[in-house]
Amino acid sequence: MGPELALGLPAVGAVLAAALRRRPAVALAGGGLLGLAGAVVLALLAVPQAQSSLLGLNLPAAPRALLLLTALALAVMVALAPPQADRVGLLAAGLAGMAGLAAVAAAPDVLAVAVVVAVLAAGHAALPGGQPFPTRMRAPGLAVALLLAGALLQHAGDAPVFARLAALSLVLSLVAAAGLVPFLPELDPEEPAPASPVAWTGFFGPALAIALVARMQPTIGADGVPVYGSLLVGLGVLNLAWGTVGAWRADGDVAAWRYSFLADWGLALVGLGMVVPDGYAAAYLVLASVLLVRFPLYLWARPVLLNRAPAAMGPANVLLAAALAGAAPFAGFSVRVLLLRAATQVYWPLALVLGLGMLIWLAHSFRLARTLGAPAGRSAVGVVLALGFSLLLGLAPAVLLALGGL
Amino acid sequence: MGIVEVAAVVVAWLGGAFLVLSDARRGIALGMALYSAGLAAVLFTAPLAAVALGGAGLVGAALRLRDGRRGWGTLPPGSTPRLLLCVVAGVLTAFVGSSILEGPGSAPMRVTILLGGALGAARLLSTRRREAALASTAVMTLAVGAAEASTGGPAAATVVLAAALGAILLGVLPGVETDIHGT
Repeated sequence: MGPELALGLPAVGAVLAAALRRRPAVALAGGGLLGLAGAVVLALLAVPQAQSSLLGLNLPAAPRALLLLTALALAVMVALAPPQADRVGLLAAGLAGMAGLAAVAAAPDVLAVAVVVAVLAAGHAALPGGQPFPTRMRAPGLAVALLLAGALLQHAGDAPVFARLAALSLVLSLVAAAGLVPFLPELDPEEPAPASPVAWTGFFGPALAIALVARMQPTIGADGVPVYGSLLVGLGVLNLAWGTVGAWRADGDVAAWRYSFLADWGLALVGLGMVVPDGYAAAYLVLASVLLVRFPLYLWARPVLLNRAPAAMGPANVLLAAALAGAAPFAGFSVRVLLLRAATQVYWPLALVLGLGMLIWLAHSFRLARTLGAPAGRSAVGVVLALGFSLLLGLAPAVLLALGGL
Repeated sequence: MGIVEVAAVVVAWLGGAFLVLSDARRGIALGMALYSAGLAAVLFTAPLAAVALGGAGLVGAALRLRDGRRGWGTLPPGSTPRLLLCVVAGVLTAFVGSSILEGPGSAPMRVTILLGGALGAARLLSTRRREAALASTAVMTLAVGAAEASTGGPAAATVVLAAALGAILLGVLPGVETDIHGT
């Protein structure tokens, strides 16, 4: 019953939190306890006996560890959310997302992932937000259609062309599901954080991508691997370039933050596409840092982004800029080392392209760090925690990689 | 290929066409119901999947009648491009499903699954109406469930039931936009 409980407890917590919305303290306590119970079950699933499932589900180590980080990120964000934030709404949306992500991770194949993505994305798109539902459903809806096409092509026959087309469909579905270039959703800067496409890319995306890759990669086959790898690397470089230049040149700070997520995702896609252990480890680390560092920092930057607090550039902001730029000893540094090492193993000119992208990256880090203003109270604690997570991922990446079975 | 299977594929195509060509609740619900009925008929070799997906599609279609724009809204002015899309999608999916793909399942099953994926995605990517987007996503979910049933993947029964439940949940979601609140 382990996987079923890991999925069911956060789902019940989300329903409870939403139902008790008018009594915030009770909603936070009830939802929080059920979310915590779900996270404990997730941790216990490391014991093989706990993986027995009535429905034939299982949760592999890599997505499970990232799900645990998602739970940790949610707990930190809800506990330390800026004073104006709707914490109950954040908890309800986050727990619903946790349940959906557990279902994605437990999904036995890509078709099962497609079903969960359809429902999860519809639930997210139905949250009150600035963009209409159909606009917000376009990228994930396309991902569902591409997953369906990929799965059909995998069973279409023995000709190599089917394997190549299946790999093409599945990689595009991954990029569409995460909401990356060329399937970038429209952004409304005033939109509530839980409903924003930034929340989808920064909070739901990482565990979704790792779970999808865990189901997709073993079924690609020898004929599909070159298409899978080269397309992921190509789209990764595209997102890296789009993200770094966009975050540097964007008119608004919300857009700059959004582009910075794309840059991180670009590194992750390149790492996944190189199909070597160092590349996968780099992708895993960068997605973990999106969850634990970049997305929480984006939430704490919201008061400045919504013009409710002034921007500032104090010593803490300089430290944050270093962390966001990937300087040593923060998380981005170990990611960059692993990625460049993997690139030199696979095709050394790629290391030059990545190096150039990483140089351009420096331009926007100070801009983003300014938007955190002068954090005080809960936000200050949150910023310190995010820096701590970044430091931990940078100094001891092997701990997380071991948790993920890498 | 039996006459019943051909008729089922035509019913499913009609359903997809109604979904693409309708802008109001009755037309959209009819499209979803017809597609579900066609899908259930081509899945007769997998009775559990046929009942679950067909039933879920009909329930989802009934739920779509609750809200959204009143009336049929079928073939509104300016719908010629959509009509062409339905015809071209029908011909292409029939060709690809029966002549190019060798699996999974029977040719009518493949064509029906492809119709759900293609017409559902086409409608979702082109509409600005929430009720149509919800119904399109539900149709794609049903097609994914049918694909799982035809590939017989691990835990196929669970995935088919999840797809059926997903289609109903998509029907439960309201067909009108809510106001923005929160930060």
